[in-house]
Amino acid sequence: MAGVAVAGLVLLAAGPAAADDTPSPSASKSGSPPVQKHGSSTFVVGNTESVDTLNPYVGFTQQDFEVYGMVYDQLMDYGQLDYKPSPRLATSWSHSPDGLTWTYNIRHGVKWSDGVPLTAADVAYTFNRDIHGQAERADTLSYIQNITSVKATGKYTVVMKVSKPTPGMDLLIVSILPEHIWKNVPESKVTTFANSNPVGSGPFIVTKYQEGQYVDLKANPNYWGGKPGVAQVIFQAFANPSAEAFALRNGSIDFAENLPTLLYKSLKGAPGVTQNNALAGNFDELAFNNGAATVSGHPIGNGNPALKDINVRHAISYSLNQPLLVKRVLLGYGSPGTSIIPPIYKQYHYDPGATAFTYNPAKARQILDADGWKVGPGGVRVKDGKQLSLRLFIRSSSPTETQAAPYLKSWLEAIGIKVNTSFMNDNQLTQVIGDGDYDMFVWGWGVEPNPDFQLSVFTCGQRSIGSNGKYTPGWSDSFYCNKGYDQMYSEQKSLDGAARAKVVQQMEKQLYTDDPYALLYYYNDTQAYRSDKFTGFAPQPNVPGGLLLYQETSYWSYRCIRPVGTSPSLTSHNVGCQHITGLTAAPAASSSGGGGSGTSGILIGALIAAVVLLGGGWLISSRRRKVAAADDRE
Amino acid sequence: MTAPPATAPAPAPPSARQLSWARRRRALAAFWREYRKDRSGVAGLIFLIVLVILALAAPLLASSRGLSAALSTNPANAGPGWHYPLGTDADGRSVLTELIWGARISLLIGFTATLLCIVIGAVVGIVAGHYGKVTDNLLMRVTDWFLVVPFLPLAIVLAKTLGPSLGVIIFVIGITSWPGTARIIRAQAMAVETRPYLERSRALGAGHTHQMIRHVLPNVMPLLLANTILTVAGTILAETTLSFLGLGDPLRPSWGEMLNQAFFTGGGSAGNQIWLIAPGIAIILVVLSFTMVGHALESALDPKLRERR
Amino acid sequence: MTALQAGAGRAAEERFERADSRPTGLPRSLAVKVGSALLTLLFVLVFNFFLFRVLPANPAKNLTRSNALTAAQLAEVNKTFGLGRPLPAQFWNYVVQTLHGNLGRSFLNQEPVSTLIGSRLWPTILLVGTSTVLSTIIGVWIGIRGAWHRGSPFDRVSTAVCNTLYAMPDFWLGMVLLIAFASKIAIFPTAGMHNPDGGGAGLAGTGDLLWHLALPCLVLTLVYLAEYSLIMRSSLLDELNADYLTTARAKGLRDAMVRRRHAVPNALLPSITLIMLNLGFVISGAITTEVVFSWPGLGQLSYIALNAPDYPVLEGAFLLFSAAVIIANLIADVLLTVFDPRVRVA
Repeated sequence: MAGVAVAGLVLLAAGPAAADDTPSPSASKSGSPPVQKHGSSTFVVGNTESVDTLNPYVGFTQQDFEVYGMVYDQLMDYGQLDYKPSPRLATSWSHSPDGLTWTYNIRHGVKWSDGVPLTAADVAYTFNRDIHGQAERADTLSYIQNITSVKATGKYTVVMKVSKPTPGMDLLIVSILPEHIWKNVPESKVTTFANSNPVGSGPFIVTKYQEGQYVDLKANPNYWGGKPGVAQVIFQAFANPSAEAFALRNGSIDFAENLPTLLYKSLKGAPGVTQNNALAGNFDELAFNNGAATVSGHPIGNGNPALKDINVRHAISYSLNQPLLVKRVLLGYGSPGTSIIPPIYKQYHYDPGATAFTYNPAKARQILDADGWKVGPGGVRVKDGKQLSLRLFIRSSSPTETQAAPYLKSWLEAIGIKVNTSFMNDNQLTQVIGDGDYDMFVWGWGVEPNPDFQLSVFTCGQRSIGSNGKYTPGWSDSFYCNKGYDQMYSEQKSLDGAARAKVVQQMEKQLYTDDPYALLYYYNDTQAYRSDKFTGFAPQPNVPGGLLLYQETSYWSYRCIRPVGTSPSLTSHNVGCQHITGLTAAPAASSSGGGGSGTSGILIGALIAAVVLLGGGWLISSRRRKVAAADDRE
Repeated sequence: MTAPPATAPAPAPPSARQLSWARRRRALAAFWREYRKDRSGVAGLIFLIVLVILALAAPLLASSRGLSAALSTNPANAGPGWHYPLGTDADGRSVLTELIWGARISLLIGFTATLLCIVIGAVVGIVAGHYGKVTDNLLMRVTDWFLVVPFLPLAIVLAKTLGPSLGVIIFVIGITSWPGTARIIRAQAMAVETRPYLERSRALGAGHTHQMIRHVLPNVMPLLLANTILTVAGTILAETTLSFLGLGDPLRPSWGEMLNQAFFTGGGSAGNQIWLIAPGIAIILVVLSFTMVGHALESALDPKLRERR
Repeated sequence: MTALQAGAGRAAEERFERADSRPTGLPRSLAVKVGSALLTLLFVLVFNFFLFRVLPANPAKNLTRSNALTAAQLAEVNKTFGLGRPLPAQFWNYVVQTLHGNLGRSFLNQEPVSTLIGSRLWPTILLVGTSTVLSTIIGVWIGIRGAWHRGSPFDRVSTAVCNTLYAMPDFWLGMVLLIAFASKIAIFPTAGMHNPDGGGAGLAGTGDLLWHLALPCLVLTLVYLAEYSLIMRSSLLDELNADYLTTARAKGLRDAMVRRRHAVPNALLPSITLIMLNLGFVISGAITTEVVFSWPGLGQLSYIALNAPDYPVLEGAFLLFSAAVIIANLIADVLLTVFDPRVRVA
């Protein structure tokens, strides 16, 4: 038995010390001492996404853009307070009465990180490249598609002409690149150019880049917007989110992004950690095949025609228990979904009020019964000899959508609809949708403050293009097509303020009633950070619970944060850091620690039990070997 | 000298069938005696029988309602409680219920993948061993290729292109595991080929198929059986790895799928750690049992292998 | 299918093939083996090509973050990737390019696959190499000692522990260790290969690297040493019962001498070669362990590529893994052929 004890001890050598029930007393003061020390003025952000590349024409994930926005400037930003266009490289702008000519005044005295002065020539160069280059155009299309010409008419003035009035010209989210570097990158090499030492005009400069691991950036001391309050920012990639949460807990990182809800929840009460349950413009929906067809109206695909019947869609909408999804899948970090512009955009969000599709399976069944769908063998409804059997496609890349899938299947089956679930990757699903070969799927959108794009997704012109089985998908993944809706869309494009909001709400109301999507929920962006080490975040919008980092293609916090204990004057003069809501929350009280502490003891116990069981079993089984062993000895 | 007492008429001589059954029974008894000597093999066998009973009795032990995320009323990711002795998962389902039902999935995958593997391996091995020369060479080429190609990358690549589902996992594991079996069976088949009764049956005009099925196969069976059991251990571990990497079927929680969800949702690492520990221990115990039974079988069947225990 | 089964297979074959085969010359055997390896490599290329080019993928979507591509733009992208020409031309192109080291470009970041793989090669070699060396030394030692003193407490405990470790999913062990040692208090780091703040140069840098290497290496070492010690033990036990040793003992040679001079060296060779054959499974272990510990090697690259899916990278990684295993097998085979005349068959 001694052998077993030894084996047990070996396995659990330092286990108890690390996994004990109560947090150590020192933890209550300033967070558990980080073993992996990094400088106090180094701000480390953890994410499960890594930075794929430093070339702004190639990167496409949110993490990539987070870095580009720190290294490069744009002409303007989404404002920190309320998303209104905020001057960045463009100090002011104006347009001609017909809206076809826009003039921008470029900031004076800005220098590139290699010392070369930045002028309007760089701006013109960048935009011209974006308009004419293949890959560049595809990459920036939503901002530049109407621009016909860009000219630098002075050292600090740029004039752009557009083919038709384009309100979005005051929010051109395009990285301005240095002409003297990029003119040496020929068109044929633009997507393969590594750009490993980016020359930018932004508040930070890349010092080290390890693909798939981390990016180190140092503060740009000569930044026109003021020197950042932290000396260094590091983005560290984690291959699994559990490690990321642990790293925040033990101080190896200072900010955790993209944590799954359970891990985020477990950080509650962790010493030195503050949670930020940030409202964001995201939602997931259950999308229907409303009658897939090309832009010319030609029907495509093998979608179940039953979904063209609005009663079926309504019945499904009544069968969904959205609050339960919010409770289970989002752990409460979100809200039930209704219209396609999320509630964070107060002026545009449409609230259906009493007409909402609340969870009511009885009503759902009623609707189907009245529609002629009688319950047949196996509990599946039948009409005109056809079973109501629908395919449901889920993206295997999304853990939340994967978790929601069995709920949806369950609810639909409860009202008599047979559901066949399949998992596939994003690429496949995009093509399947484009071909119209689906019935239902779950996906999501991140809605920008300007609702134009999101609204355009439901226009007739966004349906697939092509013929003879070869289709190129548009942005429409519902194939909704309604002349009235299209008219309203054109109308709101040339409106502003309250008038525009009214039309947008009308559009949402129509969409809600016609039900091409059954929105599941709006999900928040759960962020957690070490409030005992850094302070001065600039939330967007400027309310408690605004996004701290990974904002709407804006980068306010990076310039405004500073280590705890430093003077606010370090960053109070920086551009955009005047209206901070003062998020200097005290470190969380060191109460009973995270949810897992109680079961760590069981972890150890289980391991010991396992080893003892097995070891004991083997000892019993090997008694007979003594006979053989005796033979060996001389 | 007295006449022998009147007795019942002498029993008819046993028929050929009765003789062969008697012989089989004796062989089985002898086999069992030999098998029993390996205590760990017996322990493993008992555990496996209990496991199979548990898996079959799953509906009686834990209502399948407990597997429905939408219907569960327990708190999510909780520690052990009265209705859920091993705690709950991210949807509030009892980990114990999932463990019991997961046994079904894991065993199903293990057995079916092994079946596929054994069938292919046995066919390839027997055909190669029987026909020899060119056929043998060709088949061994293909076998070598599968043997040499590393299992996990091949499995990943296949599963990725075929999509995540139970059937694909079974298929992928099956077609990546058969080479080991094929080689062992081929060697054994080649030995059997040299035996006299095979020569005799050929002389009597037996066709190839007849020889392979009626003569080679039965003699290869014992080794095949032992190999099968060992392969199941391997396939269960393989399924665990594939599910962990996200290639499993999320709607049917096998033990590997439970581990995947426990780790990547963080519920098993930061919340109810039993959710992470329990499937792991279950896998260890099951794989150990199969391994021990397999080795015991080998010892009982092949005297030379007994020395190793 | 594990090395133990592969070993059993080989042993079985040896028993049945020895009688049957003609001994041939050494150069001929070697040539046959090398040729065979090359042929296998070619099959891998063909398999790779068909699996990745025949199946539908829409790589164009991954290249743009913006609106849908027009048909002309799609054509342009397809041209860049060479998807659209007739299959035989594509295959020939593929072979030529592969031989030149051009494995295409990643869908995710346009970097050449060969560069990506190149940058991830060293971390994996470091991790896998260190654990293989450690587990071989420790595992072999345990196996020898166990067989040496068969039935002793050491033997019983070590066999029990090894069987348990062998039955354990390696990533599970990794997860448990991660939770135990790197969650609340970072006794070991939670992720990565270096401190992202720069591990420091020279000695400090090496120390930082070793500190990060500790846990993943521990996991792989434990899992492999279990298998190796079991292999070594049964191999040695086999040898100890061989006829020539009985003769040696009958002749009066001391048992310890017999073991040290004859049994162990003879058992060592098949064991080492079996260990080399195990390389394929070492790679599997590396993939899952790198995910648990965010170790930036080929395994993690494969995992990311798997989820995208980034087909060129998957293709390249698969090719590399297969080539590595083929070469390891070749070396093992050559070792056996050169050093063990019994196995020299055509």
